[in-house]
Amino acid sequence: MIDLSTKYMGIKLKNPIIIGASNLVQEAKNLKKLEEIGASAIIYKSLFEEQIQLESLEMQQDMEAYKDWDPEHATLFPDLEHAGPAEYLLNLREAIETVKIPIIASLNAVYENSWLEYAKKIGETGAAGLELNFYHHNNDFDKVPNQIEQEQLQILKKIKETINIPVSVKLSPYYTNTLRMVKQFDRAGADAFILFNRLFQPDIDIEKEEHHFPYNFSSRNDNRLALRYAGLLYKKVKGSVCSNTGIHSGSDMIKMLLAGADTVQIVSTLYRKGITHIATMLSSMEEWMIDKGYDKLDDFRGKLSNKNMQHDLHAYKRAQYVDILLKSENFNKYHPKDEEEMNWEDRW
Amino acid sequence: MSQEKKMITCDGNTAAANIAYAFSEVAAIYPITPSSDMGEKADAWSAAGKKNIFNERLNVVEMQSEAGAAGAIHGTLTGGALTTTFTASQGLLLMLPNMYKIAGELLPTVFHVSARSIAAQSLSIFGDHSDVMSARMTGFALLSSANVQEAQDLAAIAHLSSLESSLPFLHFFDGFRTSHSIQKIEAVDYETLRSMLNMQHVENFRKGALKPEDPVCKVGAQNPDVYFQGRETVNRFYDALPGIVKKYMAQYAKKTGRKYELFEYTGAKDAEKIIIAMGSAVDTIDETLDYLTAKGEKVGAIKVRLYRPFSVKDFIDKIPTTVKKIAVLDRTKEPGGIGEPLYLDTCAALKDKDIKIIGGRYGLSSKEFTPSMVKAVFDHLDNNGWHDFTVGINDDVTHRSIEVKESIDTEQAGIVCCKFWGYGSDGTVSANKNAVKIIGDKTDKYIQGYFQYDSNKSGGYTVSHLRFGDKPIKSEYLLTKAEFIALHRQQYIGKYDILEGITTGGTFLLNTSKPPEKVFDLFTKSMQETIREKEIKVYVIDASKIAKKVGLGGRINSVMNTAFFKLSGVLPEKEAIEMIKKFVEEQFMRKGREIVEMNWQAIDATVEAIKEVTIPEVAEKFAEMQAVVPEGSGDFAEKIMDPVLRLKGDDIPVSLMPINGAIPTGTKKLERKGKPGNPIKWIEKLPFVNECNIEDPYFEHPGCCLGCGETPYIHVVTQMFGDRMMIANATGCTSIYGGTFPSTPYTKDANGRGPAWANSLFEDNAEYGYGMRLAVDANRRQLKANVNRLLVMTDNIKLSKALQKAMSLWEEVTSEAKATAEEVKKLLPAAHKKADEKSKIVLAKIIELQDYFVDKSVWIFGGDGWAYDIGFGGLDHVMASDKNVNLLVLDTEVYSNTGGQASKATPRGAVAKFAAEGKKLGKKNLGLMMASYGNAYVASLNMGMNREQTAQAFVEAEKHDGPSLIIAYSPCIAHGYDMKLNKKQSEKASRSGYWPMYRFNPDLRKEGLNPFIWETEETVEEFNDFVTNEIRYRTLQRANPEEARRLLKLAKEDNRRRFEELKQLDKE
Repeated sequence: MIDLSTKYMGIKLKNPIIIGASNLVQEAKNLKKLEEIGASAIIYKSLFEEQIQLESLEMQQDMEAYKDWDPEHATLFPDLEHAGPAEYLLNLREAIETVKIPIIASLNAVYENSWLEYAKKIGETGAAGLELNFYHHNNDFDKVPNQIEQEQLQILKKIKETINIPVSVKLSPYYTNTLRMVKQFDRAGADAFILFNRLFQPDIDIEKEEHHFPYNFSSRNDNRLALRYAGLLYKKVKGSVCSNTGIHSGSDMIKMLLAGADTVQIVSTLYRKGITHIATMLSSMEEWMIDKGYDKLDDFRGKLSNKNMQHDLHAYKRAQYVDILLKSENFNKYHPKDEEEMNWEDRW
Repeated sequence: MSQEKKMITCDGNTAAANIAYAFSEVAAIYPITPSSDMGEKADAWSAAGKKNIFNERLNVVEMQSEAGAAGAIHGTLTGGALTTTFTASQGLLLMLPNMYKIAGELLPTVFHVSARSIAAQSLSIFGDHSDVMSARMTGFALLSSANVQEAQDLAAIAHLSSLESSLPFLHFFDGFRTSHSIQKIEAVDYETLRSMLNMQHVENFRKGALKPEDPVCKVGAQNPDVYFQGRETVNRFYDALPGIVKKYMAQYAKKTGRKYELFEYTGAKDAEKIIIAMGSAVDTIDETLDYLTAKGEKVGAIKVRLYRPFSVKDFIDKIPTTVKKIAVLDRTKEPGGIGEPLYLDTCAALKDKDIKIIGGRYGLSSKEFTPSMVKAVFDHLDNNGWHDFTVGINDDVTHRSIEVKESIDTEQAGIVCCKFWGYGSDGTVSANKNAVKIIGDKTDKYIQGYFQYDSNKSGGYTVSHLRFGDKPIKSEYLLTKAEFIALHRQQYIGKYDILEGITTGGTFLLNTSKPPEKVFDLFTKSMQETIREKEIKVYVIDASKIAKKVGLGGRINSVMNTAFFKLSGVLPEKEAIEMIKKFVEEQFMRKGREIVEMNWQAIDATVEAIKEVTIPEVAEKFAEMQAVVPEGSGDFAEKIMDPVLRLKGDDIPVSLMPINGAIPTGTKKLERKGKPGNPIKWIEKLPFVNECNIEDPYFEHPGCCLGCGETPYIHVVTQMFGDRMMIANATGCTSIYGGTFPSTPYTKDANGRGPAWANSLFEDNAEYGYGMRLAVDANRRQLKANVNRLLVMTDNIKLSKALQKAMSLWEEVTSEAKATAEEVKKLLPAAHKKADEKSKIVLAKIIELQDYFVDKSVWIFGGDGWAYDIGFGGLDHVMASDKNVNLLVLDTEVYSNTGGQASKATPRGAVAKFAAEGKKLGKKNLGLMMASYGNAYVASLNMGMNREQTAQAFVEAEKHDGPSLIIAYSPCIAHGYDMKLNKKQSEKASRSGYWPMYRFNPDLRKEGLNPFIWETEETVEEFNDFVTNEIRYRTLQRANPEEARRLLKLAKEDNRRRFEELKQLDKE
């Protein structure tokens, strides 16, 4: 009997597939189906403070659209305030009640006090954990990197002091020294690291000459950074490691585990192949494990991590990069052809 | 003085409501302008958890009418809960029966009234004392406030005095002039109020509560032997009351430093002439007295505060012994009386004094009352003026008005006056409310903000009148001069007198896209002359461009506000700009930094973009005055409409006014250069529409909101029956866009026929229309009898034949019947001339009733507030009759006209005022209830979904010889979505299972058919999709998502249940 169970942020999961934060998880029927097909945990869609601010502004404008039009109605609606994160929390609570698998909340706030206030409220919902989505959109030429990093560390520390559910950090791929940042988060008590945040960035429509916001699906090639960092972090941090970007198949998941990840998060592949793809990924991993003679994940987890690859000097060093450049004839070694997948990508 | 001064900026309604909240446990209310805000504010405070002085939230309940509210108040007082209410005008009149009961039973309460005119020849929402004067016999104490400060302070004194005296109080202040005027006042905190309340009085009140533990039988019937004596038992309470009020006034002065008296004298100590008045006029009189006494005039005034009970001793004590003449000013009219109430009281009080007393009327319906008029009253007294005079109008018929000869400027030195011309939806008023709030709250300046609006619901003008000064402002009248005038809408040039009152050296700001060098040419010749002669500095700004550029879209508020702060000179520019930035930051901080910064950018960009206009030596071009009505439109258009539309209606003399309020129809198009509206042509092709005029419209250019969902129904129904239609119209949106002086959208066809329209009240509309039907029936009966009489006596064969034909078509409304009637009418004059004496009498009667050969189509229009709530009893009664009347309920599911209060038509889960946490219960199934009578025709329509069904229901309802009820789904701005999409949203309403469409036609039974015709398509769209499009629902999702979800689940269930209930009718 193959045992796919793993531990993530101190929570026992039946397998390593966690469904990442997305619109997919908003509806109860989807949640149930995800659980049924085999998802081990679900990251609930992020609570964005900016979204609340925007909704709150819209609400005010909506209600004041006909203000002071004539002597009999200076206003048309009663004076009401936006309830802040109440709707999110309600949805989160409902999601938690809908399924038995752990639901982990996700948060992105703007102000430090909002981070704490919202985290506290999320902590009271029954969520199994909280993922801090430190999505930072930089447009300030003068802000010092250290300031940004210290702010994030500060928020994590305070949240850990405030709530007693495990807290993970969804890492930005753009820290000057990601490893140092991870180390500091780890010391501050982060219970897990997600590799990495997939940032929304608008595109430009050259015909209409305006910005537009296409779907931000990952492709298979996007998983290399996560793969590398999963290998670097294995057994170097107390927190769990979850690989996140470009995991589209059972083999992608196996690679992440070989590098040292405890779990993976998937989203794009479910949009493309449907929710049932979870089962395909799990069974392909099982088959691979049977082929390889593994009974449980720890039998091969981290096998190709930095820690376990000390015999190969190039594996996690800059030389790995040099090696690729110099041995371009060995291109296929690092880019195995997967005709079917490649064609599928092209079709998309 | 124990309390530290805390200044606040608010209007009179807020000031009074805050006090009512403090002292009350229950408020039973019903919305009515201009008092609605008080109940709404109290409700909002309660929802936000505000505590009264007993540390409880006020329970605000909205009733079905003011009569209902008064009944509930009587109940709560009997049951032992401290209760208050807020009302005005017709609302107060509906409370009168209960007020006698409440006073008779010695129950303490305070009714806060923003005093308003009473509907007579016409309704008016504006301020005077006609309503409160109607309540002076009830036994309520009447306490009058003159301004916003007093509206707060005297409200508190009323509550305290009421509790101690066991007598109910009516605390009133002038509608709009005080209720809606924003002023800076010294606030009183709840701790201070608590310290003045003797809890023993509350306990005494509670002891009297009706309860089985201490049973009594309250108020049985009394007979002639004892009723009279019983009535006299209250005397000592009234005798004691003035002393109690004085005591609390003194206590209040000790606590707050603000002194009040029952009657207050102001003016020269040795005055020979005084005015007696109450309400906001007393401040204007006060200001004028400062001016006149400084010139050595021996004049003065008595401000009346406690009007009932009228303490003669206190009154006499205040009148200087030197006084020889008194003019008593009443803000009400008692036609046929010897004089108005305050005058009569004064005469009675001073009957033993050798003082000449005359009475006059002023200020009805917020008619301006200015210092120049005060001076005119004193001048009138000087000249041995007559009693029963009026001031402020030109009565050229009965010549009672006095002339205002001299224009005086009495405003305190240093007051800066600023006037803004805006457009209904452009945010000017909101921006100015912010401006007075910023300056009031953040500086030591005193402020006054008063706002005028057009009656048209969209696209009307607004004029903001702002005053800023270093001392409290007493000028309770519109600006008569202005240092700063801003015109936010260029199109008003040539229509309104924009620069009226601008002071020499003043500033004029114009919002325009024209470059500064081309701006002077935009002005009329008179404006150009004023600018030159008064050396006006002219500035321009393109507010829309700036707002768009910095991402504020169409909202020009911040831009125009900044321009005002920069240019008006109220504050130094730098300080002003910093202040507005700080305000914006506070206002938008919770909405995000980016929004704050966007507004800041708009402020900076505005400061940069303001350009001064160089006044050319010689102007080559100027704008012509615009014609507001086409030339040659007749006397009514030229002598009445023209001045009214130019905001010069105050100049219209009595002789030109219609004596009974009636105006010609077909007048709305004159506001559109005489261009008629479009007739509804598509109805002609419908198989069930036999004959109707489709050449001319009967309803055109209503002044409703853009996208109004009510008016399409009126367009169609008038197109079908307009030439023989009588309309009884309930007060509400339909009556405001249907019949606001001086024009109406109802119009005539080429034959001069068209809908005849009338509005009685809000609550009585079904009965009003029913009465019209009874009158038509009576006239037709008489006509028929006389025709039959004539037919046996006349030898006029031609006429006989025509009459016989008319009789054979008696029940028809076809064009043949109409043509026959016309034929008869043509023959009648000659026949009358030739007839013998006996026939002449009968023929004269037939001529008198000749318009009744063809039956009238009697329609009763109104909104859901009328049909579901205040007028439901009457509607129910009329629907239970056998009379041929057609009730059209334009169901917007909310009180649209008074600003979005919940009615029993408001659906579950929708947010409305008094349902801030979402309407808890489902909409009344009015159609089902009325269909249960069996005889009534009932239809539920959705014109956006199916206009043919609408037309068919109108035809059937009209044909049905009995009462018909049509409930018409009417999208409204209060639903909260872009009204351009109202057709789509209407479709969703029915397709999502929300709005059922059906016709229940009892006439079908005669043909052996099922009377119920179900016209709702299967539910094909999600109810949630319908709901999330509308702010009324979406707001609750954002403000209270959990409750929204709970209510929407139930609302969905309501839809299903309503359908099931209606389908029961199908099983007949």
